[in-house]
Amino acid sequence: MKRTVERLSGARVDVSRPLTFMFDGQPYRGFAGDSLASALLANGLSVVGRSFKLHRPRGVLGTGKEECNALVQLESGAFSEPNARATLVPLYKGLNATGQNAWPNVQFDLLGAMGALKRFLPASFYYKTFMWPNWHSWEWLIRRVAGLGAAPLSADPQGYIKQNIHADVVVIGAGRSGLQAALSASADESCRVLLIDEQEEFGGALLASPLDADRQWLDDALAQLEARANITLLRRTTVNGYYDNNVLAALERVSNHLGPVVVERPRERLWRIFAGRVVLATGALERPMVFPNNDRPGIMLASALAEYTHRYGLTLAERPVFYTNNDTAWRRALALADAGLPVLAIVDTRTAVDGELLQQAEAAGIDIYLGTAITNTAGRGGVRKVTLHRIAADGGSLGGAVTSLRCDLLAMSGGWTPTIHLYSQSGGRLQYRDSDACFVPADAHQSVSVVGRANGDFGEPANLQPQWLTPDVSSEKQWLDFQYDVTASDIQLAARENFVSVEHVKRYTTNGMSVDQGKTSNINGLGVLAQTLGRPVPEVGTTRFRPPYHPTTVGAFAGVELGALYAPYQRLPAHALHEAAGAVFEDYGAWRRPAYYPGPGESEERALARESLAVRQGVGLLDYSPLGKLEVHGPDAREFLNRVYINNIQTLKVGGARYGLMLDEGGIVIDDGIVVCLAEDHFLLNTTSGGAQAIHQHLEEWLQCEWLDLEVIVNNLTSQWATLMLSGPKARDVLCKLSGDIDVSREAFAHMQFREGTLLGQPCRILRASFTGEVSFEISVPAGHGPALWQALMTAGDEYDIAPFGLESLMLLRTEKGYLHIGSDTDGNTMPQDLGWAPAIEKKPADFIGRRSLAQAVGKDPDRFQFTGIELMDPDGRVESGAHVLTSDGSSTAGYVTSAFHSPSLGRTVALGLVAGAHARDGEKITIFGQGSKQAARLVKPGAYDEAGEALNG
Amino acid sequence: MDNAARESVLAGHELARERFSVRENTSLGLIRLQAFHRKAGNVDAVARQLGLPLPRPCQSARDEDMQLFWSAPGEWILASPAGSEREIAQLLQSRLDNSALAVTSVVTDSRVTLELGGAAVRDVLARGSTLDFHPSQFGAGRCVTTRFAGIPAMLTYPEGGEGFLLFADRSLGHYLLDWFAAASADCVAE
Repeated sequence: MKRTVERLSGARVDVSRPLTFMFDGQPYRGFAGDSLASALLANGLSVVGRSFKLHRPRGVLGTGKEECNALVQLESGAFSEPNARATLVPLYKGLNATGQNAWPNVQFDLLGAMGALKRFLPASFYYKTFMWPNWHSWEWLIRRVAGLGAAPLSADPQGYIKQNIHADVVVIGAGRSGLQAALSASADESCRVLLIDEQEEFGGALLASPLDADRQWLDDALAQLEARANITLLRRTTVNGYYDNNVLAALERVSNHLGPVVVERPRERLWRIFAGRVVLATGALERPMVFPNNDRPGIMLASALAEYTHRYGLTLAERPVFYTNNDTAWRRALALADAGLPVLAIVDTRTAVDGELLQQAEAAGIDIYLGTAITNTAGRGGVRKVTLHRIAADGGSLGGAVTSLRCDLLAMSGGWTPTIHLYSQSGGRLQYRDSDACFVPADAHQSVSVVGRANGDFGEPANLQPQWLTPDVSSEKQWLDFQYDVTASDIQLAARENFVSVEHVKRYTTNGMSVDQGKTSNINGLGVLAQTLGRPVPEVGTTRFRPPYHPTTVGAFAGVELGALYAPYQRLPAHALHEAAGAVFEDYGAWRRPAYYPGPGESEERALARESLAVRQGVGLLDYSPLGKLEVHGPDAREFLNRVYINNIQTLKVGGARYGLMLDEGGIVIDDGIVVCLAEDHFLLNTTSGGAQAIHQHLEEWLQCEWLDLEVIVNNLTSQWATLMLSGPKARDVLCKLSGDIDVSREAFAHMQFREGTLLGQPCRILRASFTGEVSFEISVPAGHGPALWQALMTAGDEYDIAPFGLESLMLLRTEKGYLHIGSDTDGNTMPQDLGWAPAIEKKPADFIGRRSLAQAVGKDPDRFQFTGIELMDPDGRVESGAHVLTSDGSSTAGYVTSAFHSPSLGRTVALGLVAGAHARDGEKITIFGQGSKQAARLVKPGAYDEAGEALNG
Repeated sequence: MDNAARESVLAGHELARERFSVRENTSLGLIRLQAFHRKAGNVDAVARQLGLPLPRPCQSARDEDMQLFWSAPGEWILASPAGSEREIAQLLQSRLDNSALAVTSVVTDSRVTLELGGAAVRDVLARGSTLDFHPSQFGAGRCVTTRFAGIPAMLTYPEGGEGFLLFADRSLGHYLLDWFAAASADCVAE
């Protein structure tokens, strides 16, 4: 490639602002306004990449999204980005890129020797090759060689954001057609218009036009648009997906043109766009010609040569040859000549060309070869020579060699493919237009219109005569997909092996599966397949266009939902006090709750032992605020709850509380809790902590979808109240010290009763229930007063050595007592009879949710996993939840340990489990398998501590 | 515990950028009004008995000192000066006879109320929700309950207000503040 010494006048680069950059460790210079590709070309670099499979040298092919050769690893370390298209990277000061898929570098790649193996590595070779002795014996090698570019190993230091936007009209593409559409839509001031373009600046193909009139038109249009308040302009933004209901997804490159720096602005922004109407002005992509060794560096698209010349002011060649099957390349050649640049020849496969073009070309001194094919190219590190053969009249064979041309660049144009990816994603139908050998939009499925070249309106006639591949010569080196090394012979091989569906051929050959997703290779591959199968192109059809149109950074999909913000978290009202007390927090659902409060240097096990002994022997305080608090009102509230719980709610008296189990329609236990009757038509449901939301939805679903006649209102007041659990033999003594109007004496306030009143001057609700097995008061005050109540109880409890205890200690205490914890001791199969509730169900006369399912055969299987206590034979033994209970012959699993703790009160491990047929096997010896070892145990009734259950009444 | 001992959710934590700000509003007492709406005429009867201009879906209204926000079918949030809500809730409940089922409950402590302001406020909101926040679509008086930043929230632009109000479960207050800080990092001086 010829080095550009001085940029042409009129180029859209700022030669007063030189920028230095590095490529493959060498320093180079470009200018502001350059892309990395134009800067590499300006410095005379022909080879900028290597192909994926065969490591063949690759030079710049295009100027934008269609680029499949100039893929670079941009920057290094945490800022590194693989597979950056050099054509899409705006040059910035200090840019540092390296070539990919080569060692030591793209110029001298030792793996380039792979090219010699081409014959042995046809399409699908890996399906046929790595079978013996098996795939895994090859995997290590494949994994080392495979892959393109390297993902960064450390976290991305730059930020990403997601944003939604609504508009009446969304115009995609800001070339001439798009700008016209935006101008016309935004003329109505009440119309909200969004104009989006993927380039650094608006203008599309106008940016590459050498005509002053075009440039003036562009400036005028932009000035008008900038002045309008009802239009939003998004540059550097690629629309990647078009979904139902006119929803689009677009990626804006907000600050990555600044390079590896961390700024306040995000690096990229993912837009979700809600459009009233969409106008697609996405232009068209030029196709390569298919001929032997058409992948040599120095062979590029004719449109690319034009853009590098007129937009970037490069002088890339002294002896450029154009090779085409249509008129557009002629106009490119003439524009080049107009600019005073040399054009050696135009080679055209057609026998006849528009007379005026011929005349102009001859006048410009360009050699013309009609009815001629290029049958080979030569040159190391760049094209140096092309061989020409005349095409016979039948188009299917070649005549004798005409000549060979010495050249230093080959510009090709195999016709134009409208960029209909988004249109196709929107559900729009395509139709094949023979005259231009391309697919164009037909019937739209959504509110979308396609304008300009995307709609096949090319402005000037192309008079195209397709030549899908060069006849009469080997198809072995006629490249289709330059990146994945797919040749016309691969498509033919697939057809021979009876892959006739275009979708199958794509996967079998990998044609169009490369990073650019076949933007230049798909239609040519399709043409070759149609010709091989002897079927017309529209009958073969296209592969499906799926989002994303262009690769999208995963970081943009994540947005700010990373690390601490990965999921919403909930905090307790007294969170700051727990933090100050040194709590270790864990996530229980979305709640961040204290697991335990270790003293200095105290281990988790010792902290749990200390906290649980404090509750057993003195008093402890637990923040129980996430306890679900649903209030149910209405004349039908009692009837409703009687249908929702398996327990009899009809007999629950005002002021009384009752334990209840809730099932889903399948009879599976989904929640347990305490139901309190506050008034004849007013109930309070204490659901499991963290289950309040789900149970609220469960209740609403039944009310809104099934039982519309029940006059019931459900009110979720979970977070209105802070709830503290004061538990232990000294709990009452501590509570008595706080001023209030609720009589908490043993005589006045028994276990499983509920009182309302005031405490320390605030509204207060107290429930006497126990999940620890000790006397417990579950005290609720308005959440804002939660911290003050915590402090008041801690102060009052000081003389009794009150200990704050966390959720893990609570779990230890309830496991000692054999109290069930839904979700820990139940799974997605657990029915109430597995928990010992069969007799209670028998007694209930009324129907309830799930009852019918309980009567199914599966519910009566004697080998169901049933809730049980498990006692280890070795008093010093340890076991963890999840350990298997083995069948009697040890060959399989017959249940598992669901909860296990070392009990400091009992001096041994206590465990609960779900075990096959456990209820009939009380006392039976079993074997437990966990952490790689077996130990002996036996099944016992749950509740190892205080079996008589007297402590909680104290 | 006197009322002064009541702790706000964010305890003074706030976000102040040049073009976006978040501050906790503790001046409102909140009442949830629920009327059984699956029975024809019940909601109208409740409105009549309470003597309140209950706003229609996605709207808010004002009645002297009280702002009324629609929050769900048959459900409204009534905001009055903090401290008065308990009395008002009782007064309203006493106005209801047994002919129409409705419930009032004080929910001040269950909510965090955030004031969102600054030149970029609509942009930042558009990062947490798919709603259209353009002034022509989300003007004064609008009130919606929606998914915002992955959580349920009620968003309103009150009549005569200077910015948006966001109501969410109090347990999510710190999450929201962290989320806003991350999502508005670019809302610095232009």
